[in-house]
Amino acid sequence: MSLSRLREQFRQALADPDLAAPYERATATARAKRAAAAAELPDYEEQRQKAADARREAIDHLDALVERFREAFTRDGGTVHHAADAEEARSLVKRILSERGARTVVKAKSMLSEEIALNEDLIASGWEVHETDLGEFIVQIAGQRPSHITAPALHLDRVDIGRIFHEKLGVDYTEDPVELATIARRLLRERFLQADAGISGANFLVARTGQIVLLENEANIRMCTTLPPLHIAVVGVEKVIAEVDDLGPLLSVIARSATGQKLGAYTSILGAAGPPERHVVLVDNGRRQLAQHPRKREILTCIRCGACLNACPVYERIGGHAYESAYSGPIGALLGPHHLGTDHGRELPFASSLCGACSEVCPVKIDIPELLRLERERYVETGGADVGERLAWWLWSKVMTRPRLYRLLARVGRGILQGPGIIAEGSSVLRDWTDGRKLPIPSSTSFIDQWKHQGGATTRTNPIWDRTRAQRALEATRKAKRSWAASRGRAGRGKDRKP
Amino acid sequence: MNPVERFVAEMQPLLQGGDGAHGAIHRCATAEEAGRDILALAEELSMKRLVVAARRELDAVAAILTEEGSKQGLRIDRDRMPATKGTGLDDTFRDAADYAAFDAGVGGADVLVAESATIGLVAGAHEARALSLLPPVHIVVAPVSRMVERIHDALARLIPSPPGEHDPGIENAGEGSPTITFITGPSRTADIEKILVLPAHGPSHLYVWLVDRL
Repeated sequence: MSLSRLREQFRQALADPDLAAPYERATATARAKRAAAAAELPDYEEQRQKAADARREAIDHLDALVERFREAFTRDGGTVHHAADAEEARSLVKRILSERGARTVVKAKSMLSEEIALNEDLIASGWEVHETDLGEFIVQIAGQRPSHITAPALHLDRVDIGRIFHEKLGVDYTEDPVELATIARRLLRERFLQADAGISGANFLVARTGQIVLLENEANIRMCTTLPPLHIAVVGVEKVIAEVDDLGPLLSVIARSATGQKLGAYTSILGAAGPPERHVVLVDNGRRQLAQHPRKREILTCIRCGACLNACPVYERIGGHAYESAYSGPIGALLGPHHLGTDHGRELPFASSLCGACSEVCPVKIDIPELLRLERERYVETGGADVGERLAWWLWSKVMTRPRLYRLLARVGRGILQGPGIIAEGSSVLRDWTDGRKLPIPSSTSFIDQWKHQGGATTRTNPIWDRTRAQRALEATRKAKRSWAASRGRAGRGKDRKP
Repeated sequence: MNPVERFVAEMQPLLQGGDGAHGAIHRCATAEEAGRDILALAEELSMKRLVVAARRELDAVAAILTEEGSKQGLRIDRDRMPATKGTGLDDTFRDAADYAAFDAGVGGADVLVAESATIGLVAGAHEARALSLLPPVHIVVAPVSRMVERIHDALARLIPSPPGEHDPGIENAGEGSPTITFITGPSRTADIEKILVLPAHGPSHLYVWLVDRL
C-alpha cells in the first residue's frame, strides 16, 4: 500500500490550470466574510466555546440523547428508525417510500445522503429523485458530485452552468445567474407541489423536544418539509444535541462560519406540526465506534459549516473532487478514513500541511491538525507506510542514537550541500525546495566544533547525546503505543484494520 | 441603538439583491396605518389576491384590506381559526399548495430578533407555514412588543422548558413540540459563482411593518 492513488489524484488536480481559480475566488471571499461576521459579534468566542461544549456533551452522552430524541419524536407522532450502516439506511428509506406508495421525491441537500449514496440507489431502484438546492440541482443534472460541503457547485462557473442547463434542460443558453436561478425555480416549484415525499438531512436533532433543526437560504428545505405528505429526515446519529438552549450558541456560530451571515434566511425547527407522516432515519455508519475513541470522538462534533474547507490551502489548490470522498477539505480528511473504509480514505489524512488554519476557524474548536496526526499514526501502525519509508525512519533512529555516526554523516552531508550547484538558486538540484524557500549553505564546521573552539564546556552526559537516555525515551514511546493499541483492541476496535 | 432600531438597521441590507430592493421595513403606530400602506403596496405591485393569516391580531388589518381592497380590485382571503383547538397540524383550512395562488401572504410574527432582523413564526392554525413560503411576497405585520435582543431569547420564548411549564402565548399552536420558522430576509442563493441572487425557491420580497399598538 502506498500513497500512489491519492498522489495521482492530487497531481492531476495540480496539473489542471483552470481548477484552482474558482476555489481561490470563493474561499478568499468566504474567509473574509467569516472573519468579519465573527468579529462583529462581541461575545463570539464565548458562543463558540458554548457551541463546542454542547457538541462535546452530546457525543459524550450519545446513546442516552438518541433515546431521548426517539421518545420525544415518537410522542409527537413521528417514527424513528435506526440504521447500522449505509445499506440499512438506504433500504429503510426505500421501505418507507414503498409502503406509502411514494414514487417522486424532492430532496434537500444532505451530506449524509452523499455519504450513503442514497440518490444513486433510489434512482437505480426506480424512484424519481430531484435535488432541490440550486447547487445540488446543478451538480445532479450535470451528473457530477458536490465539490464543497456547503457550496456543491463551487467548481463550476456561470458559463459551465449555462451550458449544462442548455444541454440537460433544453433551455436557451444564458449565463446570467438570475436567469439561471429562475429556470431552476420554475422547474422545481412544480416538483415540490407534486412530490410524494420530501427527504432531508438535519443540522441538529434536539433530544428533549424531538425537534429537527434545518438551516438554509433558499427555502427548498422548507418546501421539502412542508408540501409533500411524507417527510423523511436521514440523519447521522451524532447530530443530536441535548437541549433547545444549546441552539443559541450553535446558531450564533454556524451561519457566521459557513457564509458570514448572522443567520441563514431560514432556520426551521420542526416539531409536531408538519406533514402527516414524519420519519427520522438515524444512521450510525461507524459513528458510535468513533465515539468510543477518547480523542477521535471530537471528529463527531463537526457541524458541517465548511469553514475549514475555505481556510485550507490544500483544498483551495486541489479542489473538492480530488479527495474522492463525500466530505472534502480538512474535515473530509478526518471523516474519510472512518466512513469510506478504503485504502484511499485511509490516505486522506496526508492531504494537509498541518498548518492549523482549519482549527483556527472551526466554530466548535475541533483540533483538526492533531486529529490528522493521529490518523496518520494509525495509518503507519496498520502497515500503511511502505518499505522505503520504514527503512528511512529505521536508519534515522539508528543514526540519531549514535553520536559519532551522526557527526560523521553530518560532516559528509555538509560537504555535499556545499558542493557546486547543489543549493545555488535557480540551478540547484534541490530546485523543488529552493524555488519556494531559502536554504542557507551550511557552515563548514559543526556547532559542536565551534562550541569547543570557543572554549565552551562539553559533557558526556548531555541528554541529547546520551545514548542510553535516548534509548530509554524510545522504549517509553513504544510502550505507550503498545498499551494504546491494546486498549483499542479491548474495546473491540481495530479488528477491521488490515495489518 | 435600541432593539427596534437595531432590527430596522439589520433588516436593510438583507433586502438588497443584486438587482435592487426586495422589500422594505416600516414602523407605524396602528394597524390602520399598516393596512393602508399594504393597500398602496398592493396597488403599486398590481396584486390581485392576498391571503391574511388567521391570527386575531390581524383582524383590523384584514378588515381594512377587505373593505378598501375591493375598490382597487383586490381580493382578500382570510384564513380562519378552527372552532376547536387544533392538534398542532397547520394548513387545516386549505392544502398547503393552495397558497401558491396568492400574490402575497400577510402574516405576523411570534417573536422578532433585533440582533439579526429575524422573524420567528410558530406554525399552527393561526398562521400556516405555507403562507410565508409559497406566495412571491411575504408581508409581516407585527407588534414591536415582541422584540427580543438575541436568538437565544427567541428560543426561550417560543419553546417552553420543560414543556407545559409556561404558555408562550401563541394562539392555537396545538399540542406537542412547536414547529418554528425563523426568517431572516427573503429567499436567496449564491450557488452560482457566489453571486447573490434573490429569490431562490421562497418569497422574492419581504415587507415588514412594526406596529406600536396592534
